[in-house]
Amino acid sequence: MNNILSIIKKEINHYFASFVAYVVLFVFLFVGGYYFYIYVFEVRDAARVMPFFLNFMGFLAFLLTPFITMRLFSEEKKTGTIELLLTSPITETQIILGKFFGALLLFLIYTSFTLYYLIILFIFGRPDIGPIITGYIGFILLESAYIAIGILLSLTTKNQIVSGILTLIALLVFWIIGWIGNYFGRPMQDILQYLSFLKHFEDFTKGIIDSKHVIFYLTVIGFNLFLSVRLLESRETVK
Amino acid sequence: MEKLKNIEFERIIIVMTLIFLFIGLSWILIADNNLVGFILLGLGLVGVGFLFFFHLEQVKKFLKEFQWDVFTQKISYILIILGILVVVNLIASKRFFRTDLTSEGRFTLSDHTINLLKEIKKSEKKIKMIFFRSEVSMISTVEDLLKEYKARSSQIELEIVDPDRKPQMAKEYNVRSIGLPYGGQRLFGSVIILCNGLKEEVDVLKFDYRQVGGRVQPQLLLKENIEKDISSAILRVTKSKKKIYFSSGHGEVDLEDDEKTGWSTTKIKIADENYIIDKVYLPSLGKVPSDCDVLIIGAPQKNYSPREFEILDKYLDEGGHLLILLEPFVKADFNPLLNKWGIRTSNKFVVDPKSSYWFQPIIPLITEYSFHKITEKLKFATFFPTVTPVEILDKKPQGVDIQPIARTSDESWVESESRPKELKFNPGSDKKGPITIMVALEKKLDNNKDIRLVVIGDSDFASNYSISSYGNLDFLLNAINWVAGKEELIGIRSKTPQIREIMLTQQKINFILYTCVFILPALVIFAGVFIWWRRR
Repeated sequence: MNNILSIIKKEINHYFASFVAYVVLFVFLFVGGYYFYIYVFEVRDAARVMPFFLNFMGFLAFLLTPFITMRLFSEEKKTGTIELLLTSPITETQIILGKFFGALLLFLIYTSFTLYYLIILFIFGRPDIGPIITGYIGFILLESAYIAIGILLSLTTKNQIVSGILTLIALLVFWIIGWIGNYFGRPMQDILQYLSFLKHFEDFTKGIIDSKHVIFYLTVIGFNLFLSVRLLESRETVK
Repeated sequence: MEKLKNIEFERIIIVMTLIFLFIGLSWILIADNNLVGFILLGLGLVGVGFLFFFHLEQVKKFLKEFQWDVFTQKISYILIILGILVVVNLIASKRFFRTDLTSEGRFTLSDHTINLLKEIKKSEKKIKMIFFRSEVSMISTVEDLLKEYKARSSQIELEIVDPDRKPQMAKEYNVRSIGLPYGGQRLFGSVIILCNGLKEEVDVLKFDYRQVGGRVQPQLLLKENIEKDISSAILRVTKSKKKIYFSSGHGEVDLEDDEKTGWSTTKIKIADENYIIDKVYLPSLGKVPSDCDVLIIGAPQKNYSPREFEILDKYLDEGGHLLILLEPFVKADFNPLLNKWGIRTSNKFVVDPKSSYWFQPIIPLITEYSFHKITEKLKFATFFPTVTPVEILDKKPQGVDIQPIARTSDESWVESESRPKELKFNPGSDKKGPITIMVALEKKLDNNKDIRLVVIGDSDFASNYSISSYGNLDFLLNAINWVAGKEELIGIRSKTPQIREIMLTQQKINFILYTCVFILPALVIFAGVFIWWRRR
């Protein structure tokens, strides 16, 4: 546990020491803030602004996650520090979990800035608190799934850009797979739509918590982290 | 130098790729015309492909260095884990837990609906719902509701169709749009519910006047109680076919007769309403068959025996559903059965010179009906060739709701002579109109059953010759459906989402714009620059 915590701490320090974390946060807040402003201005219904906004945030996070996850292992591999890490008494599972929670914590810090929007809504209107809570729960699950995929793909290459692009493509596929599903008949349609990140996220933003969606995200997170551990364990494949 | 150029070129491609992907996807998400969005998305993907090509050496190196034999060893282990996870998801998709945290419980179905869906689960019937909707946010509430039905029941299949994009499908299901008067906006909002080859349609839009900014304007609005309508429709399509027995053996209407006076066409039309039709001869069975949902006595020529009346009386008392059609001039007398329920019949006939079918006073034409479930949706007039009065007695049994459904005009009368030389009102002997020619009776019993009885003073209105004219068919089917007790789910409250308006002034708008879009992101950049500068 201490090992995991120390990795998380190291990761967070590392993020905020680099300029990338600030640029990503800037884009997140600038684009997010603009859309929040548009939704408030257009919708004018305090109960419906956050569902719209959280949906958009899910989309924005998918574009930004690769910038964070692409360097997680690729960089360590390039600089050779991965060998240090692997020869230390820290287990592979601890490394993966540390990196995962480190990136997640970073995104939670990013997300915490959006609480400012909530304050505005509560001052100017009377939002419905239920869908906001479920929406944030859904967003955290969605973001965790993004990061888990990013970690796995970051392990496969030492080139950050390749890692980032692979992650972007993978997330894009999971994002649009539901629409692709529309062009198929059943049961292919059902399967593809089940794999869609968007479809599972939708209910959360409306104020619904369904075990089906929670289990879907936990499965994606768990499986990707499991694969990452396996990949890291077989060092031969990770030169 | 060349390498530097390459790196710059690559950076430009990365940035362009991201921009294309971002705008393309946003476009598809937000705009109606997706073509531009797809073109941009395509360009983005081309960029992704280009970057791959650019790093071909690295990709090749990666593939070369990747040790496939180790990889395949591990893969079987991974596949087992994946298999387990797929099974877990399959089970999870059948739902364990779903909760709605909106303050109005907007996505919570009523207990009635949930019980109905449980019943359907037992019967293992597949229900298909097709929602024809225009792209208007108001209608999304209904879509959310339908998705709740689907989430609650694995037997429900939901398809959402934009009729403007699939007009042939709207035509196939005969879905119509509803529009504002004077060529205003037209919208689609109909749910088609299919099961067992049965079809029900629920329209969710209505047209009403609303006060908008001091002026009263026509508007399209959502109907109230949509959940009730949908659940009732589901109930109707999932119920098995109901059975109608026609009593026989006393010269009743002939269901196989193709002649003008026969009922062969009528029989087909009734069967189309999801009924199974059979005949029963009461004396041979000694009772009304237990699977009987409606018993129809269609204008017998001869009288029923006291033993048969006993059977009918017992049937009614135990929650029977009986439709009796009478005719004047015949010997059959149903008073022994009906007097108990506050109804009296005769074999006289009604003359109506004021409202009649093609100026034939012995064929009264009914244009206005009393308010009742049977007649509430009836739009057309109905005519009754030679009809006998059905009278409601002053002394009615307790706990019974008895209603006159159709009455002739105030100038009509009951002719006392069976063969009058001339059709003329005789104040002494004839009874002055309006004359009731049809009554409906209902009594709720303790065991959730109800007694339903309809008596109509005519049967010719439903013969092959008359059934397709005017509103005669609807009149008969409505009466049969009511007697059969076609289910309606009641007690489902409608939930319209509240609008929690944000009161905005220009000042507030500016505040949100400046703090959210400029100040907050700017602070972040300052923090970044500050830390970067300190580290240097």
